[in-house]
Amino acid sequence: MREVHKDIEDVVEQILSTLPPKSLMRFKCVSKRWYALITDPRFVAKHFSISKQNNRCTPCVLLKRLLHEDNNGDQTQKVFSLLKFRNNVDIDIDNDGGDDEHSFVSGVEDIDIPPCLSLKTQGSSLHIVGHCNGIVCLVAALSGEVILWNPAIHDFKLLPLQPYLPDSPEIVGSPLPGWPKDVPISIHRDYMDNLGFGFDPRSNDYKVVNIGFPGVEHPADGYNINLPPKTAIYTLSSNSWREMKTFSLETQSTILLPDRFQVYFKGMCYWLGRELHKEILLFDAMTDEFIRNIIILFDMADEVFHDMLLPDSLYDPNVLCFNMRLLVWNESVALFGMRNGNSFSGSSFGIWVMDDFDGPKSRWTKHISFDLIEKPLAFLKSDEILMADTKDTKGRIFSYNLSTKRLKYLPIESMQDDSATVVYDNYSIVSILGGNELKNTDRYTNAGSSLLEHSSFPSSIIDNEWHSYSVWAILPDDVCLKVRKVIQGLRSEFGGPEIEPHITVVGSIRMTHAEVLNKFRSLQSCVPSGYKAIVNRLVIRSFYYQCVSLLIDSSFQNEHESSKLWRATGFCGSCFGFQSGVRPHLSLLYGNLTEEERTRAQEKVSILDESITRMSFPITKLALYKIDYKDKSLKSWEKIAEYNLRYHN
Amino acid sequence: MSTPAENEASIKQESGPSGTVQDKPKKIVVRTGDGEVFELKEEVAMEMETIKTFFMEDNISYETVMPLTNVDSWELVKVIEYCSKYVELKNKENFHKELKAFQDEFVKSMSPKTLLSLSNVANYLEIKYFLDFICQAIADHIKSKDVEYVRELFGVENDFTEEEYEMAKTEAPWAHENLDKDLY
Repeated sequence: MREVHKDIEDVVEQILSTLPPKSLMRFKCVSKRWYALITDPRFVAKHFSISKQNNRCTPCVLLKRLLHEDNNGDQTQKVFSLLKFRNNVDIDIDNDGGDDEHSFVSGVEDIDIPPCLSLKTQGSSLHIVGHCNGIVCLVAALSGEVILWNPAIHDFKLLPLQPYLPDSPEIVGSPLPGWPKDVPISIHRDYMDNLGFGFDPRSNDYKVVNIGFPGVEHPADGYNINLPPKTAIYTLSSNSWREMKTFSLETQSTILLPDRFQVYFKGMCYWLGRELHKEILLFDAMTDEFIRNIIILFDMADEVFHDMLLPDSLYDPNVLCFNMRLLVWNESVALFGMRNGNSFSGSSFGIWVMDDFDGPKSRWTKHISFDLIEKPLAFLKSDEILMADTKDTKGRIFSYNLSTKRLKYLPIESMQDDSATVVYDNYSIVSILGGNELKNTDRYTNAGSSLLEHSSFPSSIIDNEWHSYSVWAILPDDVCLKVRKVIQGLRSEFGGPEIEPHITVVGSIRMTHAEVLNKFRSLQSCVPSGYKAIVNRLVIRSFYYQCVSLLIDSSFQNEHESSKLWRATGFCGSCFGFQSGVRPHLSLLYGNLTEEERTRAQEKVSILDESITRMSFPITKLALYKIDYKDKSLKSWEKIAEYNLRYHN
Repeated sequence: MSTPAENEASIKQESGPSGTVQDKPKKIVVRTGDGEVFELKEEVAMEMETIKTFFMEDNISYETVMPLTNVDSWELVKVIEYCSKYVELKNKENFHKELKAFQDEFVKSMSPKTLLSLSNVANYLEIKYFLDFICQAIADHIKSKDVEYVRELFGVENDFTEEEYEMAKTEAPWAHENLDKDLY
């Protein structure tokens, strides 16, 4: 006979695992064994995952309000309010009094901002960054201090200040003669949007990502250089920040700039952002540096950035899309956007869902269009969404039922800053302080992996039908040989991958295989003739891909020889849909070098081959390469097609 | 459903001539820890994993009386009551509504201590939905109660020293206040 006797303790554990946080925090005092059980990470994870599964757990809305102390409206107080909703289990099953379409607010609780915060922070506005597993991440707008907060168990933690990233944009040089120094003329970002918060399922750790301001350089040759932002990451387990040296926020010719943090979901943090040209001629700076809007993802476990395109229709130049927001909906990430298609249809809201994470096809499916022009905040249920009435003077929000298309205002007022709202499950007992006060020898063993967020994110989401391509100018064989020697020499000292010598003519092309081949073929008639490439000088940049490179002469002035190259580059770019051409570089080393290493690299090049900085050679071949920016070894970068250019000396 | 037992002889199953199907539903016989013998309908008995495994795994004949030493007769009565009702309602249209009504009545008639005993029985007999129900009922009952009450109910001894208890309490003093004003 099979004996299967579960310990009596399992029954206790099962009873406890459905209790609300307040009860559990109290019952820690029952006995040492109960204390150990309730604080055991395994139990915490189980409790949380159970709360998500059964409908005992009700979503809470956390939002900021500005309350008036007296009727004059002079004294105001900023509070965080927790709106608790009644779920259908509690309502009489006949639903006599209840409203099926809309969730019912069962209570409003105003929460005091934890008094632990420094004076500096108390004065400034607290902004909600995001939430994960019941923990809310807040940032103080002025001081930049970050707070992790679990309102369910009144648990909060003030993070140490991050020491790596600058407080304001780093601008080197002055863009134009006469232009005041240190005044940014291109990139604008909101200080509060540069943080992301989420959970790393592999190391069972909570992390905060800080994306710094991108640097801007004006090297006084008429160009504007956009550097990828520096990033730092905080982990709860170490309670410290560390700088991330990442190359995943740039391609050969562009930088990826996360602008606004949206949401955390299943091991990934999502930002809406832009792709910008790395180096652009200054007089075109306002319009041309921008290439496209993209979604930037951060893999919390691998600590690598990925990027993803928006739905095709949003790239239509005839369509203006705004108020874009990524939200979690029905176990998937959904994109909200307002489209202004043409004068007839006016503005309408669309929701696209990122479905089929594994599949390469149909990354986005358009689900709904509706004519409401308000700001979406979050989903309460799968068919009910919370929205902010942007025109309401009282600052109210309402819930909108997608099926019946009816709305109902929530009985609270004075919403402040409608973007700072989260809907989350206020049922988590995940503690962020870590460590227990009471040492207990009678602890449960921490067996097995955490039950939180088990799904590992398949990397194939990035491998969608649209790949990344580049058009390269291939060097003549003898030049190639010279360059290879220098590349090898640099590699032996500084590491880095083996680069196939080339000049990037068009970078970061995103299309399907068939499309890109098509366009490349048409390129042959657009750009049939070769041209001369003259090396201007050796440059060292704060880019990964142009760490050490030869800058090629490229002038728009007709008298210069290099104008042919400039025009050809421009034609190639426009053939693939780019408004401006790429500044031509011949990269000698890929890497992230320190200042000191860079100086050494510069010297090394002159030792290896002095003449390399004075070369000039003809470009007689253009090639199309398929690029995988995640492959650091470059071994997967392959030539797809090529053609010869007619060249007469 | 229960048959008082006079002796320990096993009750023979009625078997007809080969080929014909009997109208009578099959029965499974168990004996509780306090010596009583119960006859269960097969479909009800099979709701209990422990019993199911006992008979299915080694193909033991239904003539064998299964000993349930950890179960008292009054507990088994209650278990049978719940499981029979569950099986009866299972395929009906108003399953959830009717089950909820039955659950409310079921819980009303029992004290917390009784519920706790039943939870152990449910655990032992491995009846998942019954265990879930009982545990939830107990949880609902204790969620607004204080520490002393819970200790008493579960029979747990307070092994904290005065200081240790105070320290544990100060980790979340708000959790010990306003016990009856919760929105949950």
